Formats: sequence, structure tokens, C-alpha cells
Amino acid sequence: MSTTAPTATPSAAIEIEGLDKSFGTTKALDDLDLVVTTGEVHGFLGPNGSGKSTMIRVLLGLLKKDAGTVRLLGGDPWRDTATLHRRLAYVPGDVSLWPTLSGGEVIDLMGRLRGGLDERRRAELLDRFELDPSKKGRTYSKGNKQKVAIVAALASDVELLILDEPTAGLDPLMEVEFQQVILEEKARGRTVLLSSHILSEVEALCDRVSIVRTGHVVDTGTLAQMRHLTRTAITAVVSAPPLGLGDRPEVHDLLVQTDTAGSHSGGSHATGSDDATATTLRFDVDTSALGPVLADLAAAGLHSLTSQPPTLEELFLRHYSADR
Amino acid sequence: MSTSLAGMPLLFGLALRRDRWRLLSWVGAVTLLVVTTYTAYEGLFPDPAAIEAMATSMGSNPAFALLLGQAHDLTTAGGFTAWRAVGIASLFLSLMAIFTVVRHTRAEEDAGRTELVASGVVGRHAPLAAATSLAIGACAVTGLAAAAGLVAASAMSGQVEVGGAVAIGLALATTGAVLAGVAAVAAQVGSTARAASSLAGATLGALYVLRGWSAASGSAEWAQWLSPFGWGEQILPYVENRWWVVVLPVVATIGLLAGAHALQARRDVGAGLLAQRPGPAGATSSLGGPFALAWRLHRGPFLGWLVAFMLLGALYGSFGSSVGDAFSDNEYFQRVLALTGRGGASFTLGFLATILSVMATIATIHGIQGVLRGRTEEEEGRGEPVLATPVTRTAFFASHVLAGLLGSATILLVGTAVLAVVTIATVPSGTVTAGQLMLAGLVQVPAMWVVVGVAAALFGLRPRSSHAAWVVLAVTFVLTLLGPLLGLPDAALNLSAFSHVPGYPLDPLRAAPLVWLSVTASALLVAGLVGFRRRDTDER
Repeated sequence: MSTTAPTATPSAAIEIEGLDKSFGTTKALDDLDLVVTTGEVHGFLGPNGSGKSTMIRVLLGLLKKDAGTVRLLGGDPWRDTATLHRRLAYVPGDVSLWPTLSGGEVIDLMGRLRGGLDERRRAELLDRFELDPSKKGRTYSKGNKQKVAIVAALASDVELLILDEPTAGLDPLMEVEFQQVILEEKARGRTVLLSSHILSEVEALCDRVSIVRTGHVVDTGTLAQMRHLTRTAITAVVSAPPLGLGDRPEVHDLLVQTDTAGSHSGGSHATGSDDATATTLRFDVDTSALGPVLADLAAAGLHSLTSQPPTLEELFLRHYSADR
Repeated sequence: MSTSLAGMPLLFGLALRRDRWRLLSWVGAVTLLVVTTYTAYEGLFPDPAAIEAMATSMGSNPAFALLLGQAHDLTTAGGFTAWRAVGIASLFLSLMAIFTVVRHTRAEEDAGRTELVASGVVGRHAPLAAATSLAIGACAVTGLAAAAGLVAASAMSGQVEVGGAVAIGLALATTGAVLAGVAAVAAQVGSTARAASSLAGATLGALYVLRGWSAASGSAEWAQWLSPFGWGEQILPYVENRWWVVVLPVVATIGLLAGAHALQARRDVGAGLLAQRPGPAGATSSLGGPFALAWRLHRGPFLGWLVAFMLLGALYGSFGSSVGDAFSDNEYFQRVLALTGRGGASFTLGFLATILSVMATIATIHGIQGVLRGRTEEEEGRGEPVLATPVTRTAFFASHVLAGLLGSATILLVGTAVLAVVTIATVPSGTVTAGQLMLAGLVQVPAMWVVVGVAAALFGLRPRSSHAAWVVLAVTFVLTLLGPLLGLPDAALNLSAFSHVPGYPLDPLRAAPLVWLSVTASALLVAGLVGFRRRDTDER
């Protein structure tokens, strides 16, 4: 209340450093750091129970931090709660509506609580999400409850959108519509913090991504940067196995298979070489060490090569699973 | 039938597992209430003269008849217990039955858990049958425990008496069972757990008041036979032990349960017979802030309570005049009056003071309900989205707490106003003024707000224990109604906020207790608010 946070566009919409939060003996957030730059769509990912919703609740001033610093839109989310909330909208992961209020009433109410909503925008969003606003809260399906919360959040003119798994339960058509709407919001300069498990959504929308595991952010960056830090799968056929390939620390899970000409008898015509033997190598290599490894392979008489960049799934599986 | 009940034992076990401590405390409290009333009798009324005085004073007072039913024999510990404790005990047991049935039927459907369960090998009727079995089973256990306790107590005083003890056990158990049946039907009719509980609760209130009215009026005894509370009384435990009366509640329970199952066969899981209509596509301009939202959420129950209190005020008001008559014909009271120098009107005034205290205790239910609605909002995840808007913690907390405070005070004062109008029209002029009666209602408010304040303090400081506010109210209720009679020490009686309220208009007004009650209520409210502002929100 005292700090009238001016709209002096700080470069970071969200700045968290060393955030700790425990519930009894359970440590939900453990030295968590996160920076969300103004104007970006920031993906917030992590396995179930890794502390995503807890961090969002701290950001909303619903939970009190144990330690660390948290700055939200230039203010303190616990102290300046009401002032800051004028400038943000929130979609909870598990939407619970008032059983006796209609969806339209909830949208209007939430908009007014936030300080007003744009009638034209409301009508447009209802239309785009094909939502019937006259049904009572308890008669909506899971996906439709989610839509009520999305429309309620997007119909207000705010700087920051905090979305906690907003598309859980939406059908694919609505999912596409949602992505379109978020891209429009981004074009208008809004900042978005998006917690999500839907990787295609993250890939389509997010400028940067943070991955959280057991209450700690383990990786932050653009998807391109993250890909760079992972491994590429290589299958190569060479004349003779290169010496020392298996000793390189960047090479993992090396599999060597030597084929003799005889074993090929009924099969494909040889691979352009009249040599009697060819060796197939399968391994993963750290993407950063791709260059030197390829040079080794070329020196060993490269016949053929396939390389597979990591899929997004692999990227996350690697980060999600405990210690690898 | 057998397939439609498939899985019932398993569901019964699950419900029992979830409710064992909850039910055990109900059973224990009700049993204790009955048995201690019996054991206290001898100490309270040691000689025939004391018994005689008590029997005439209480047996003929319509205020007690209204609340507890007709007294049939107050000269024995058993007859006294049957009148004084069984009425209240069966009221508590009925509440237990309603809560248990609704909790395991309609509330499970609302939470979506019935769907999960129904996808297993579970018959259509199994969840309802399991819930009613649990409720009725708990009533039966209470009846058994009370009977055993009474037999033991009679053995200790030297004369084993089994018949009356069993009759009291049966009266308790069967009354609770009928209300379990009522709740089973309500769970089919209402479209939410809240609606089902309100419907069953309103039926309970109406049945209880019907019995009281019949007992107090003296001219409408036939109406006794329309209420399960009347049946329990008409068994006449320790007086005649009329076993055949037990047939009535048993038949009624079977009929209600059959009706509930028939209704259930005709509706979808999750839907009620009273279908929900579509709502407006947008909110009216008035629905625009936390307080407007609170009013919207609280107004339904509030209006229901308001109507109930107007009826209650009219009913109680109509007895004001008969109180004076009942006492002026009584020789014993003529002597008491002569000794104390009070006029005959003092009985009417005493009656009004007692009735207003009881009305205030009942109105407190609405107050606690209002405060705990805020807790439910938080718990069920509707509080956080509201608190994620510029609505402050203070406004959120205050919106629900104020609904409880103002709602309870309003229904009490409106009920008092109706009571005043009816009383003034019927009692001899000069007995009491409307202004005095309004003041008598008003002095109850601080005590009421202390109990509501306890709920608010729990909500703010110990949210997961906030339902303990109901325990506080139940203890208050028992202390107010039974405490003085059971000869409990003042220290115990003083625990009830209502025992500090001056008995106006019979006794003079005293400012000091009212100031202290107000200070206590304010302190509790502030503690709750400070706690709520400081703590984490707590979703289930």
C-alpha cells in the first residue's frame, strides 16, 4: 500500500533469488532462482510436485516465503499484494467455481475485483472459446471451467499473466485458440509466466524456459540453448573403429558392431567399399563436442552417418528424471 | 437387489474408517449427557420436598415444555432423565445422522468421488445404503451405550432397572434413525450437499418445534404423534415403557429409506430432483466486490433463517400469556411469589428471558455458519483466485465474518420483534413493553458474537481446526440449558458466554458483563483477522 509501484518498466517482471519455503518438515522450495524479463513468455516446467504451484502462490502473496528475495513488478508480493494484483491476472491450475454462480457472473465478478474489464474483449473471448456463460458453475465440465478462468483472466487489461497449467482439460481446437490468444497478448507487450506440461505449447509460445526440480531451478534458457547442452544420437558406419573414441568423456553409451561381408551375402549390396568389413557405431555425444568427434569419424573412413538432435521430450525427460 | 447393493460392505467400511473418531465423539457426548443427568438426580433433589418443588415448577412451565416436551414423571431419576436429557440427546443424535448421511452421499457426489467409486463393482444403491447403515448403526450404538450406562447407574444406586433404560436407548436410536431417513430423502431432492443439509436441517427444526408446540399448548396433543421427537417421548421411558410406540419410528424409517432409494433410481449421479436452471450470462452491476460476493453467497441461508426466526418468534410469543396463567393457578408458586414479593408477571418475564437466550443460541448457528463459509471458500480453492485480485486479506476475511455477525444479529432481532408484537397483543397490558423486549434481544448479541468470534479466531489462527467452533456452541448450549439444573459449579457455567447475559427483563440490566462480552468478542475477531493476514492460504 505504501509503495505505489510506478510503471517505470523494470527490466525484470519477476525476480526471485534464493527462495525457500517449507511446509512442516517438507521443503517445497529450496534456494530457487528465477528471472522473467518484461515482455517475454517464460515457460516454467517441472515434474509433478516439484514446487511450481508453490512458487506461483508465493508470487501471488498467498504464501509467505521463509527466506530469499522476491520482486514482482518492482514490488514485494507479500507486502504490496493488492497494489500489485491490479496489474496481473491469474489462472489457477485447478479451477473451482461457485456452484450457484453462472460462468458469466464469475467472469464479470473477477474482472471487477481486478478493477474493471473490457466488455468487447470479453465478448470476443467468449466467442473464440465457444463458452456458454449462462451455465451454473457446477454444471461446467473440467475444460469449460478452465475456459471460464482463462476468459476471466484475459478480459482484463493487465501487464502480467500468471498461468498455472491453463490448458489442462482443453480440447486440441481450444488449445490452438489459446496459443493464438497468448501470442496476441505477447505482441501487445504483456509478460506471461506459463507453467505447463504440454511441450508443443511450450515450444510454440515460450521465449525462455526454466526447469524446476525438487524446488530448485536446474536450468534456464532458450530452447536452442538447452538443446545445445544435451546429447545428439549418432549412428555411423566406418571402415575401422577409430581408436580412443570410447575414451572421450563426451561420448556415451558406445555400441560397436562389426559386420563381415559373409553375413551380408543375401542382403544389400555392399556400401560402396570393397573392403571386407564395416563397423557400425552407435553412441550419444554431448552436442558441444560434436565437431571433434565428427573429425575422428572422418579419419576412420566414414561410409554413412545419421545424427538425431534431441527431441523436446528427451530434453525434459533428461531434466526431470533424478540424477543423470 | 443384490447386484444393486454390490460393494456396499466395502463402502460401509470406508465410511466407518473416515468417520470413526467423529462418530465416536458424538456417541460419547450423547451417552455422557444422558447418564450424567441420571446420576446427578439424587444429589440435586435429595428429599421428597425438593423433588416436589422441582416437579411442580418445571412440570408446569410451558417454556420447558416448548424446549423439552411434556414432563411425565419427575419424581424418579429415570423419569427426570427421560424428560430433561432425551429431548436434547435425540436432537444431537439427529444432527449426527443428517451430517453423516449427507457427507457420504451428496457431498461425495459433489466432490466427484462417487463417480470414481461407481466405476468399480458398486451397485447403484450401495453408496446410499452404506451411508444410512453407518448413520443408523451409530444411532443404535448410542442407544445401546446409553441403556447400558443407565443400567449400570441404577445398579450403583442399589436398584437395577432395565426396562426404562432400554426404553430410553430405543427412543434415542429410533429418533436418530428417522432423521437419517429424512436426510436420505433430502440427499436425493437437493441438488448440492448444502441444499440437502439445509432441507434436512429445516425438517429437523420443524419436527422439533412441532413437538414443543404440541407439548406446550396443552390442547393439541395429537400433534405429538406427527413428530419422531413426540414418538420418542410417547414411549414414556421409566413411566410406562410403552414398547408398541417403537413401531412408529421403525416403520417411518423403513418408509423413508425405501422412498429415498426409489427417488435415487430415478435420478442421475450428481443431479438432484430439483434441477438447476441456467443463470444469467453476465453479472448485475451490484456484483462487483468482495462484500457483494459474500452477500450473494450468504443470502440464501440468511433468508431461510430469517423466515424460520419470524415463525419461531411468533410461536414463542404466543405462549407468553399462558405462562402467567399456568403459574397463577399453582399454589406452590403463590407462596413463592408471596415470599419474594414479585408479581405474577415475573413468570412471564422470566419465560421471555429464557426464550430469548435460547433463540440467541440458535441464531449463533447461523453466525458460525457464515464465518466458516469463508473457510470453505478458502479450502475449496475459490478463495485464492479472489485473493489474487486486488482484494485484500482484510476484505476477504471481513466479508465472511461480517456476514456471520450481522446475519446472526439480524435474524435474532427480527425474531425478537415478531415475538414482541405477538407478546404485547396477548399478555395483560403493563406486563412488558415492546421496547423492553427489543432490549432483551439486544443484550444477547455480545454473547452471541463471542461464540461467532471463536469461529473467526479459529479461521484466522487455526484454520484446520475451525470446525471446533461447533463443539464450543454445543457445549454452550448444554451449559445454558442443563448446567444450572445439573448443579455444575459456577466455574463451568461461566464458560458459556450466555450465562453472563443479564436475565433482562426479569433481572435488571447490568452494563459490566455486556462490556466484558463485547471486549472479548472484539479481541477474538481482531486475533482472527491478524492471524489470517499473517498466515499462508490453505487449500485442501
